[in-house]
Order: sequence, then C-alpha cells, then structure tokens
Amino acid sequence: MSAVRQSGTGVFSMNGREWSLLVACLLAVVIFSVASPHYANPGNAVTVLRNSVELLLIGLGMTLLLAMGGIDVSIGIVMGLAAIAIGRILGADGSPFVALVAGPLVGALLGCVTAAVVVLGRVPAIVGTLGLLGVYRTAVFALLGGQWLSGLPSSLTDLLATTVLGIPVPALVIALAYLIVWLALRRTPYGLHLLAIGNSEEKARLSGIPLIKVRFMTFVISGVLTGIAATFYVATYRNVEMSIGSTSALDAIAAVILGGTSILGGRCSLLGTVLGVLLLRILQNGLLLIGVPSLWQPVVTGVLIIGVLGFEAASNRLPLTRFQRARA
Amino acid sequence: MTAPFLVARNIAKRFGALTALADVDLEIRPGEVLALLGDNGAGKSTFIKVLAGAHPPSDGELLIEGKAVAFASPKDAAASGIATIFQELALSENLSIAENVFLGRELKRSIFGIPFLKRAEMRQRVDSLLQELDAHISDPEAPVGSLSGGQRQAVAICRALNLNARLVIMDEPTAALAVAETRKVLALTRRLAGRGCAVVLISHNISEVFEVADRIVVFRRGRKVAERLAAETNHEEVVSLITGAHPDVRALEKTN
Amino acid sequence: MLSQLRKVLAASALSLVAATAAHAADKHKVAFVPQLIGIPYFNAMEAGGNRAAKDLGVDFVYSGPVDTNPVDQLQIVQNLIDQGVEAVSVSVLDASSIAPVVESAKAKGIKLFTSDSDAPDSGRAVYVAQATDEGLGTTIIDELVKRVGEDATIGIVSGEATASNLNAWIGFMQKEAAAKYPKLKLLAPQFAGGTAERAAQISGDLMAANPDIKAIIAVASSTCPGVAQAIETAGKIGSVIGTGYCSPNTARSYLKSGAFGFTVLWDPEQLGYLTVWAGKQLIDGKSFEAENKIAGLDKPATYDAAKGILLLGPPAVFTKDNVDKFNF
Ligand SMILES: Nc1ncnc2c1ncn2[C@@H]1O[C@H](COP(=O)(O)OP(=O)(O)O)[C@@H](O)[C@H]1O
Ligand SMILES: [Mg+2]
Repeated sequence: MSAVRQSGTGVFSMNGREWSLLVACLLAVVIFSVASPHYANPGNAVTVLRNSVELLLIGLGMTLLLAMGGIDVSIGIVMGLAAIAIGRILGADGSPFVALVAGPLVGALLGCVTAAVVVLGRVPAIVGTLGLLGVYRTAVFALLGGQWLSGLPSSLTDLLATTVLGIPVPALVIALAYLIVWLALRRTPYGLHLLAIGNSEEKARLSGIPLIKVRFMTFVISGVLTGIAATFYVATYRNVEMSIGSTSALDAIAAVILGGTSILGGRCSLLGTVLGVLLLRILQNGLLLIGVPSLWQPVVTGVLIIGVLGFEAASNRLPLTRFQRARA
Repeated sequence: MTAPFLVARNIAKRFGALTALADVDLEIRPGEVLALLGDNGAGKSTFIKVLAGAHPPSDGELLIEGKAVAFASPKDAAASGIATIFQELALSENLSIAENVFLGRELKRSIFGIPFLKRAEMRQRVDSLLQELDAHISDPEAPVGSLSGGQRQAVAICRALNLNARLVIMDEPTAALAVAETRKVLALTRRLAGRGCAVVLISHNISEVFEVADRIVVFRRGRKVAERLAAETNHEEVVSLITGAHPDVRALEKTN
Repeated sequence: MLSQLRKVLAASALSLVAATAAHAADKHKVAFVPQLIGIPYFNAMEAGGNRAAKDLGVDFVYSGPVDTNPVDQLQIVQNLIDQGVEAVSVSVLDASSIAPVVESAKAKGIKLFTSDSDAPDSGRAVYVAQATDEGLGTTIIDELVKRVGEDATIGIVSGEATASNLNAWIGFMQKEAAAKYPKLKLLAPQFAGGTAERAAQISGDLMAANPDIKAIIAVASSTCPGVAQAIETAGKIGSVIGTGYCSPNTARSYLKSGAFGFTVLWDPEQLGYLTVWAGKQLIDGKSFEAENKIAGLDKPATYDAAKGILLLGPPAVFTKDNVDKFNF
C-alpha cells in the first residue's frame, strides 16, 4: 500500500482529491447552466464568490487546526464577537480604518483565550471549544442585549468594495491569506511541527518540538483569519444578528474534510479546502436556481461528504487512520 | 580508561504508585557500546527516557562530563549531545525523510525575521548521510510511513548522526528487522563507537549483544542487578542474571 | 460554572422581586414574567405595563430570567405566588411544565394567566394574545397586494423549517393568496436557518432565479436583515419590495433606504398594557366582553370565550413614516 503524498511541492500542485473536487465544481457549473437560464452569467459567478469569502478565511484556519489534530467548534461565534466589535465602531460612526483593525485584533485575542483553555489548560480541543462555544454565545447575547445591530453605515462596505490593480479587495485578501498560510505550512519549521503534532503529539514531543508554542500559535492564526472574515461579514451584510456564525464552524469543518484534510490530523490540503468551500457554495447557489428548495440543500451536501469520504475509504485511497499507514 | 561522558547516580522514576526505576548508578564512556539487558518491564526504556530528557527523574542526578544537568525536554538532552532512537521510533509517518531527520532542529534562513526552511540543503545533507549508512531508499521525498522497518530505523539513526551526538541511545533497534537489516544496524553501532561516540543499546537478543557490546548491564524490576565486561562473561551467566537465577541476583533481592 | 452564575443571577432577581413586592402593600398587584429580561421586546412590554399600572391604579411587578431557562422562569413565578401577588402573567417558555404552578396559584386564590406566549391546556385564567397567526398571515399579503398589485411573483424566506409558528403564518399567507388573489404567485418557501448570511444568500439567489420577482417576505425575524441586504446589494431597491415580520428597530434603516416597503408585527407596548389591564380585570372579578374598549389602547381587544383568548387586535403595520415612534 502506498501512502498518500502530501500536496506540498507547489502552491497549486494538485493531488487526486483536489482534481476530483475541481472536476465536481466544473461539472456542477455545467449542469446548472443547462438546467437554469439564469445560472450562467457573470453576476451569479460574483455572487457565488462573494458568498464564499468568510468560509474561505475560516476554512484556512480550520485546516491548520485539523492538520494539528485540533478543532475549534466555537470559531463561528468568534466571528460573531469580532463582528460585534466592528459593528459597534461603525455604529458609532467610527473610522472604517479602525474597524478594519478591530476584526483581526479581537480574533487574535479570542484565539489567545481559546489557546489558553485548550493548550495551557490541557483540555481536549473538542471539549474546550465546545465549552467556549457556550461562553462566547452568552457573550454575544450579553453584548447585543437581545437586539441586532442592523443597517450599519456603509463606510466599511465602500472601503472594501474598491479594487486594487483591477482586482477586488476581497479576492486580494483571500489570495494573500492563502499564500501566507501556505508558506507557513510548507516552507517554515512551524508547518513541519504542526504536521508532526497532528501525526502524533507524543512523537512530536520526543522529537523536541515546542508543542505549546506551535499549538498556541495555530489557535491565534485561526482567530486572526476569523477576525478578517468578520470584517467582510459586517461589510457585506451591515448587520450583526444574535445567531451570527452559528453554522460557520460546522460548514468550515465540512469543507475542510471534503478538501482532503484528515480529521485525525497530520495531513491537510489548503487547495482542497478552497475547492471544498467553492463546491459547497456552488451547490447551494445552483440548487436554488434550478428550483431545489433550500430545505434539501443540507441533504445534498451531507450526502456528498459521506459519498466522497465513503468512496475513498472503500477504495483505500484515504488514510482513514494513520495506523493503516504505519503498517505499510 | 577514558573519563565517562555521562554518569547517572541513584536514578529513580516513579509513575504514581509504580516504581519503574530505583537506585540506578551507571557510567557511560565514549567509544564504548554499552548494552542494557533485562526482561520486559525491567525499566530499560524508562531509564533511557530519563537520559533523553523525555521523563524527569523522580530522584537522583545526571552528570555530563562531571557537571550536573537537568533536562526539561528532549530538546535539552539533544543540546547536550544526547540523541535517542526510541523504541517507538518517534518518527512522523506523514513527513518525508529529510523532514524527519531535521525535525525540531531545522536548517533555516531568516527573511524579514521569518524563519524559512533551507529545504535543498537539508535534502543534500540527508542524501549524504543515507549514503554513508549504505541505506537504499528509492524516494527520499516519500513519507516515512511508506518505508520498511529497516528503512525507518535507518532514518532514525540518520537523525542521531545528524545531531553530531556524543551519546547515541538505541532502544531495541533490531527488534522488527530482517536479518540483513539487523546486520547493518549492528555494524553501524560499532561504527558509531569507532567514531568516539558513546552508544547505549537495548536488545533482547543476547548473541547480538555479545557481537557488539563492550559492557553489559542487566536490569531487573527497576534495579540494576549486574554489570559485566562482555569479554569476562558468557551467554549462560547473562541469562541467569536476567531471569534472577544467578546467585548474585538472589543475594541482592533477598537483602531488598 | 455558567449554570451556577445563572442561578446566582436568578436568585438576586428573586430577592429584587421580594423587595418590590413587600413595598406598597396597599394597591392591587399585577405581575408579568417575561421569557427573558433586558431585551427590547420585553422592555417595551414592561413600559406598556407601567403605563397601564399608572392609569389603572395598580402596582406592576416585572421580573424574569436572565436566560431563556424554563426552570428559572418557573421559580420566579412560584416565588411571586408565594408572596401573594394577586395576578401573575407569564410569557411561557415551557408550556408542558407550568400546570402545577397554575394549581398552586389557584389554591391560594391567585389569578395566573398567560401573555405573549401561551400554555393552552394548563388551566390558566386567560391568554392575552398579541395577534393571531391568521391575522399575521393575511395582513402581510393584503398589504403587499396594495403595493405590488395582484399580478406578481413573491418569494418567501423563512428561518428554521421546524418552527411551527412560522409555518402557520406561511400557511395563512398561501390561503389568503389562493382565496383572494388568484393571480398572485407565491414561490415555495425557502428556509435560511437562523443566520442573516444565509438569508441574504438565498434572497440573492431567488432574485437571480426569478427575474420577475416583485417582493420577498422575511418570515423569521432573523431573516429580515438578510433579505433587506440582498435587495440593496442587488441594486433592486424600487423594483423588489422587502417585507416581513420584523421589529421596527431591526427594519428601521431598511424601511428608510426603501429596501423594505413595510413590516408587520404587533406593538409589545400595547400588549403590556393589555396584560396589566387583564390582570386588574381578573382581580376585580370582572369578566371580559366580546369586544373591550380600553382607554389606553388604540383598538378594542376582542375576547374569544371558547378558547379563553383576549386578543390585542389586528397586527400593526410599520412603515418609514411611523417606524420612529417605536423602540423595540
Ligand atoms: N509512562 C508511564 N506511565 C506509567 N507506567 C509506565 C510508564 N512507562 C513505563 N511504565 C511502567 O514502568 C515499568 C518499566 O517499563 P519499561 O521501562 O518500558 O520496561 P522495559 O523497556 O524494560 O521493557 C513497566 O511496569 C511499565 O508498565
Ligand atoms: Mg522497552
């Protein structure tokens, strides 16, 4: 049995899963274009990309966390708290530039809180972040006082709606975030350490890796990315509702796993995450346009995840457990 | 006789109520292969984990070249020139050979204060190490998880060599190996000692031990019960020391 | 830890009740226990209750849980009963567990009734209702037809598919459309869950899939900002009217921008007034008329003796012209 090679040789080098996802995306686009006269137009393509921004940013961070053998189920609410900070600044007619800094800053701070609980407190990530999910939710509630921030001024929206060298700012930010995370993962000692920890924390410890530092840093990076996601959220929807981000963590985890990152850690694909997010969003958009009620969309994505993972497990291409690989 | 590289004094290790090690005194000398023998659960792995900085001792002290040291982590021990090949190998199956050999001590260059890996240099260094070991690995970029047991052992030894270690500790390196691979690893231990390295080897195979060891130490129930020069003992005596049938061991265990 | 904190807070809320109840023992006392304190909706009910208390010469006690915890709410109700508050009204959190409390109130001769949220089989004295499902469903369709005409396509964006009240409202919309406006085309309802993000995405997709769409109804209050935002982003202000069951505070900026033409809900201030009036009526042993003209209310309250429901009247319609008069 041959082990699966990390896709790591180039920024966009592709492995089998990534090709499958790309083909699936293209196939979906073709089918939707045939099925609905309103599907294939530039406006709709922009809509799909626009709808993907927050999940892409959160997904990149979640990829690192899962690759490390961690997880953060509270991350959607972290986005909510960062959004509240941004919303409050905008609501008080504050400078959009201050608002721009607030998102990543609050994200980083909450990343530190999560890391303090999970890493320093030695609580398993799923347990710790589940606990924090409750705490953060209550904080959202307390901060909003049962009332949404609605109809926020459009200063931040206008700022982020601009283009640089003809490229829309959101696309630029995503590209930059991808590149930075990719470099960190594949070109720095941090990335190696993260993957080693994901493979086996004990072995990583015996190899002399600074476990705490690496794990702490990863939660902070995920927090910063989520804070940036919050900035785009507020700029787009100009609104912070009580239930903000309640589905983001699970959506991100779904996209990341779909992208080929192992839920057990040690193996990840950033490009796969990007394609996973795009596939989810293409399906959500396209299914509605061809008249499938939104009620059925979670079913379609659920079946897709089970199908892809099930197929790969059956055909033994997915290293479902590292024990399988260890026996190779 | 050369001065010892490392001296262990009264080392004890307790896991809760369980005493895994008690009162272990040992000297480890450069250029010498020291074999640790003992039944399963005798405390051999625990002892070398203390030497490797993976477990802090509950009691006793370690001296390196006469100076007391306290290791907080395997990194500290590595910095003092101790390289350990753990029984469970501690290799990351998902990383490549070069990545494993350098893991935790990567070669890097700083760009705008950010450390980037010197990947080409690490590759080259590992290629020459593998050549030196006469290890045949077709694809050095392949994840270690896809290698055979002997190949993995070679990677772990590469890791130790790369550290320029003064003391190399190997915990049952040949346990999972085929005959030809075992030969290679044994030859390698001698070569390490020949370079002036101190080598500690744990093995269950007594004839193998006699082949390479200069000195033999026997552990029983967490205690060091005997120490012999390989030239001055034989297969039967070592077996009786391990099983506890030897009169010396009986006498010792009666007094305790 | 969190639940402990909650208990402490609930306990302090109780002692607060005790303090206010002990004070001014001369007047009749009417209490209202909301689902949750500190949110604008119930604040508005409290304000209405206070206004009624002043007009009618009773003492108004307002106390409720700090979290939507049914057990805390029951404790507060029980405490009010023990203190001998003569009429206690509750916006019920858990309809199945309130019956024993009603029993203990009856045993002490205390009038226990429901307001805002009912427990129909509990034996409560009366239910003070804000609006009927039918009223809400038909009002929004009638108001829409006034604005876009009968020959129109209309989208519906709801929240969770499992919310029975939302589904009831949609049911009455469809009934009204079928009965009165045969040419009106109501699209199948879409379900956005709880987030504005998803509601905006679905609304955008609905507009893309149905270029002739004239209006979108936000059924769940959580979908209001998303629907409005999507209309603004698509540049469809003026050609697509947004509406829904949205509070004035949530909809204010959208009503003013034109993304929303109107919203439909009831006025909780009036509901609070009616609640205290009903409590006074019960204490005085007076029965309700089929139609009750009340000096402090805009419209007469109707009483359904068979169901024991005192109804505030038809729902309120909020537009850009009257929205600033409300704060909830
Ligand atoms: N981390 C640990 N926690 C608790 N007990 C341990 C641990 N490591 C080893 N032991 C116990 O210590 C004793 C010695 O184990 P070990 O050193 O692995 O023996 P050996 O390598 O000689 O076979 C055994 O009883 C083992 O169960
Ligand atoms: Mg062992």
